[in-house]
Formats: sequence, structure tokens, C-alpha cells
Amino acid sequence: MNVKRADIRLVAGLVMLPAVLLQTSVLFQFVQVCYAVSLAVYFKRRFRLLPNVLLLITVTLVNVFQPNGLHLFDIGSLPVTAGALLVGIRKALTLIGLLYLSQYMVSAKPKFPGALGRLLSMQFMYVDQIAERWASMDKRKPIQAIDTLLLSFESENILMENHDESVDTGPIILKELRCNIIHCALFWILFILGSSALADTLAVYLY
Amino acid sequence: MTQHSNKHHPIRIDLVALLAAFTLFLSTIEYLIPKPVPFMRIGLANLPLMIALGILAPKEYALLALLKFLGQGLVTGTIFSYVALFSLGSTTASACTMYFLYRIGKRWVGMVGIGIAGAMASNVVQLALSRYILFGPGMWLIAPPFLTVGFVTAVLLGLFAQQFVNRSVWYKSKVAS
Amino acid sequence: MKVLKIGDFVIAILSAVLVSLSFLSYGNLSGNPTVHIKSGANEWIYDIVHDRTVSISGPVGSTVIEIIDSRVHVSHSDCSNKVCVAAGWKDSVGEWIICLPNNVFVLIEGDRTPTPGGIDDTAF
Repeated sequence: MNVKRADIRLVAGLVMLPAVLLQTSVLFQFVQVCYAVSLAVYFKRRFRLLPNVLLLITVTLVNVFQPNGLHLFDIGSLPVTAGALLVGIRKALTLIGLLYLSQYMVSAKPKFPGALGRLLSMQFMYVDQIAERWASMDKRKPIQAIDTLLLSFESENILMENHDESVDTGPIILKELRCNIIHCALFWILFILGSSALADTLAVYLY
Repeated sequence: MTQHSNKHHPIRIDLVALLAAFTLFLSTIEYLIPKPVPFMRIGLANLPLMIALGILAPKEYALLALLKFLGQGLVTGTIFSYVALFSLGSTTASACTMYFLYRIGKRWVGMVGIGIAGAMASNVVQLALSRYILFGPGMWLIAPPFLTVGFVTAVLLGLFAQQFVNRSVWYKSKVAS
Repeated sequence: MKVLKIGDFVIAILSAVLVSLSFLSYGNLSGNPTVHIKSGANEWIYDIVHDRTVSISGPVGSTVIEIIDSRVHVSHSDCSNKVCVAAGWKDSVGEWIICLPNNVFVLIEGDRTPTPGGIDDTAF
């Protein structure tokens, strides 16, 4: 059987996913998010802080509208409660965590099987071609430009080259497997810690 | 205008893949356009879905929508996150709305109307999902500006699509075939 | 060829109306009445439509407040006279329950009486 690195990463990500989703402690969820971001960044996916901070702030502020728990302070006539803040932060963290976990899962470029997979590779091949041709085009009249672009694909057939048929070797697979077992274990340990009394003790002052 | 009722007509893989690639290309362009608000979207990637209405058979159209979702999810790496849920929901909603509207009312409705209807369907689905996943009742704070921006961009995109459909040589050749 | 057809205008106008209507939600944002629980310097605020049980500790022990089906009552109190428990269920804006021995004050605040579901169920 031909196991691929990409598949291992995909499955591992699916195993880690519920550990983030079901996390009950904000603190440990934050650690999980940092972990997921580091994994994504390590495998060359982009991370920008600002959009994530904006996301965190927006989601948190919007959630403040449903009061829940200890009254901390007011923004205008709107009471800001600890519980509402926490709910907002939790939702935003879950989103960010899943986002980067997903980045990690596709970082080894998994291939869809069968006809759909071939169709997707064809799509990506066309994207490269479009980008290339579009760059050399006069874009002042966008309608004509798009028309010319699409017409330029009429006469020819894109050749499907199967450039990526490399088989991952045993040692690579073993290493990938080992790493991912550790990642999964750590994600679930963070989940268990988050559900334990430790998290309650740490969070108790917020309620 | 168009004839593609033949059920045994084979799926035109090349055409679908090309249009799907075009969606992906447009979403990359959209990504590069600076936006004042993080949640604001123009929906450029919907242009091929609008153009395809008069060209593709139902199966091909569904495949195009699927490829748009999968392609974007894979390129942006969001396919296994909540974002994919939003994208799947909104693509399905707008693709179905636009397709049925085109099928039923293409004599009375042009790309502008179809585009607006598709955008509204997509935005309502996104808001409903965000209500449960992200925002809670505070979603109503986001809804008005979100819907307004979506409406305005849909009108502009619809006008562009209509101009394209009217003038494009490529489109005419596809509709005729 | 024409750029716009009659249906484009119809859909545009209908959608514009819908979009404008969504701005009405701003007038409604205070939304559901809220249950305010005061004890000493602290205040807790909860949405009345979400069921929950809150336990507050005061000078003589704990006061347990239940919010169920958009109503609120004190279900248990460690005080001796239990006036707060006897006060029963409250569901309208302005109504209150007080437990003097345990220094707990429960008050329903808001703009209007609760309608089932609030703004959540009235739109979409």
C-alpha cells in the first residue's frame, strides 16, 4: 500500500480538530491556537498577526451584546460582562485555531482521489496559465481582456503532466507518523488539562 | 437561446475546469485588493458563475460550484475550518438561486438581478451561520453594513457581467455550440 | 442588447428594501430584558431568555437564582425567613426580588416585556 505524507497529516489534523473545538478553557485553547499557528508557520504557511487580532476584537465586541455574568464596565450604555467577553474570545480562538490547523492539514498538498482529483489538478494548471497570460495583457478594457484571455484557451488543449508521482519513502513516512502522533497527543493533553480542575482554578477569578 | 437539455451530453471537463480556474484566479485578485473592513467582500469570484449560467448544463454548473469551493479551500488552506462551512453555504445558496432564477426568468431578468439575488442568498446564509458560530444575537450589528456592501458590489458586478455577456466573442461561441 | 431588464429593477428594489429593513435591527439592539443580580459591590447581568442557575454567596450563605423560560426566581436561600423564595417567579421589566439578610438584589431591566425569542426569531 502506498501511504502518503500528506494523508498522514490530513488524518492527524482531523484527530486534533475536536480537541480544539470541544475545548472548554480559554487559557488552554489559547495554547492550542499558538500550537496550531506554529505548525502552520513551520510548514511555510503564512501568518499575519493583524487580521487575527482584528478578528478577535470584532467577534469579542459583537458578543458583548449578549450580557452574561459579572458586570465589569460600560461602553456607553452597554454593560460589558466577563462571561460575554469570554464567550467572544472562545469563539474567535476556535475559529483561528481551526483556520491554522486546516492550513497545517493541507501543507503537504494532499491530493483528492480519482476523477475529482484530476479535475482539481486541471483547475490549478489552468490557474497558472491564466495568471501567466493575464500578466501580459492590456487591462484597460477589462471586458475585452477577459474575452481575449478565455479565447486564448480555445485553440489548445492543456497538457496534463503528472509531475508529482513521487512516492514517499519509508523513513519519511515513519518520521511524519511519529511527529503527528506527538502533535495529536499534545493537542488532546491540552484538551484534558482544559477540562480538568486546573483550568477551573485558573479561571475562577473571572466568574 | 441555449440548448443543453440533452441528458447524455458528456460533461465538458475542460470548460468546467477553465471556468473554475477563472474563479480561483479572481479570488486571488480579490485577495490582493486592499479592503477597509476585514469582513468586506466584493465577490469577484462569482463572475464566472454568472457567465456560466448560459453555457453550462445543470451537472456541469454544480461541478463548477464544487470546484470553486474545493479550489478556494485548498489554496487558502481553509478547507478544514469553519471558513469552509461559510464558503460552502454561500456558494451553494448563490449558485442554486442564480441557476433557478436564470432557468425560470431569463427573459425578464438580466445579470444584475440574478447577481443581486445570488449575493443576497449568499449573504443571508453567511449571516445565519455567523449568528450561530461567531456572533450570537450581536450579529444584527454586523448585518446592515454587510448586506449593504454586498448589495452594492452585486449591482456593480452584475452590470459588468451583463456587459461581458453582451459583448464577449468567447461567450457567443460557447452559447452557440 | 439592453443592459437592464424589468426583473433587474424588481429584484434590485426588493433587495434594497430588505437591506434597508435590516437597519431596523439597530433600534432593537437592547433586545431582551436582562436579569441584574446585585450583591455588595458586584453586579451580574444575564439575558432573560437563556435558562441558567446562578449561585451568589453573601453574608449568611448562598442564594440560588434560577432563570427558566424567561422568568426568574430564587430557588434556594440560606437565610432564615426565606422571603425571597416566597416571592416566587418574576417575568416583567421592573419587577424585583430582594434578600435582605444575604444582601442579594434581583431586578429585571429592559425596554419592554419579553416577547418569546426576542429579535432572534422575528427576522429571517
